[in-house]
Amino acid sequence: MQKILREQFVIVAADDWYQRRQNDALGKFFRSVADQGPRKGAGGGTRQGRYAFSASGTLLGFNNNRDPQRILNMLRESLRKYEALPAGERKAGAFKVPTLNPGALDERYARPLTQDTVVMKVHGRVLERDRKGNYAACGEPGANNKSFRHTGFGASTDHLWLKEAELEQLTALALKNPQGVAVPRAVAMRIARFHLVDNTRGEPPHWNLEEVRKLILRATMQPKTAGARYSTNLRLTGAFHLETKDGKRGYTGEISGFLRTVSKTGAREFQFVAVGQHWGEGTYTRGARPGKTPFAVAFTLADSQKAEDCVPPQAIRWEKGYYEADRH
Amino acid sequence: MKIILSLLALLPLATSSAKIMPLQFDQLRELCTPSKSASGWLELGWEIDLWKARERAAREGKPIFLWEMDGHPLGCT
Repeated sequence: MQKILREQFVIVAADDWYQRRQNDALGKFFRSVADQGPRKGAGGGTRQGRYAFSASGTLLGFNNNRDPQRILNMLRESLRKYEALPAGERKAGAFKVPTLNPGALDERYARPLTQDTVVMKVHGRVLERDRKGNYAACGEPGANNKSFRHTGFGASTDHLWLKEAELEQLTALALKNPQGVAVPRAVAMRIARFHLVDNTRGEPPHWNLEEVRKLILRATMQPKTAGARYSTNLRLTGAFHLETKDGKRGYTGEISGFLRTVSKTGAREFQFVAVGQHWGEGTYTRGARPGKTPFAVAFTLADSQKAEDCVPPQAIRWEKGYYEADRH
Repeated sequence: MKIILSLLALLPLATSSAKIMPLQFDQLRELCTPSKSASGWLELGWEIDLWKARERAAREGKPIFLWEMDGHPLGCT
């Protein structure tokens, strides 16, 4: 299947929440394709699934099943239908796609990655303790041929968006206060509310303001030594307690990491991890292990040249609420 | 007494207040990072902009495969 996708299709992934709503040429084009299939999104409902279509907008196939064989069948059938299209719809260069000015996109649903955004890759994973008490991977993802659903034992992926100015502000504050400073509240709350979540089995619930029972995140400038590799070297430490009012879902733990600037190149090194005990599940994350169990989240700087690293954070659907996580 | 000793032995596992040590930091980061075998499908050359995909498909004379989910397939779970 990977060979067919790589060689015979142009492949694209998208978040239906945006595309089924946006009132612009892109949203209209998507809906014009989707509405040729069984998922018409009546009443604003979901149009999620796997679609094959031509650049001209002719639907060739649709599937919303996880079974690889059924997806493969749909791809093959779609290729046959594509070959049967008139030359003006399928020959290289024959169909002219209208130019789409980025400024013409519906700004309520556009989340472009701007130059001043720092992207961090966020990976979560359920863990267990080995005989020595060390953290270890919890089982293997496995094939799960019955439903092809997430088993929850693999690593999850999301993205944290920070602003350059926020990191500059943090470094400047820490330089002035060698005893250490609190990470600005909006940043700390963004990390805690939207990224210290168990998204290993699906779209997770985020934490609301009241569910942040405790959150300490501090940055301390490390003393410079002779010939130091870093012009600035911040150590990050923290602790958190997140819990719903009814106590059915929660996550408590510690945070540790660093934010450094390499003296010679000015390059940034930025990583941190959170680890602790997680319990409970959300509407779309059923199947959590019973009780309180180890769960970790790792944050590392992303390579923003790669398309998948430019995917917006899951929680940024309300952009203001995401960036002002301490206020809304 | 036996019960108290047993509970004390469990304490380091039950508490979340233990600091993350440097070795543990590296281990946790590694554990959370998807393995190459589990993330090979990311190397297929995904676009994340439907319009760009459409332009490329027209230019190359290929159909488009769109994976559309509530929550981005490349960055939600």
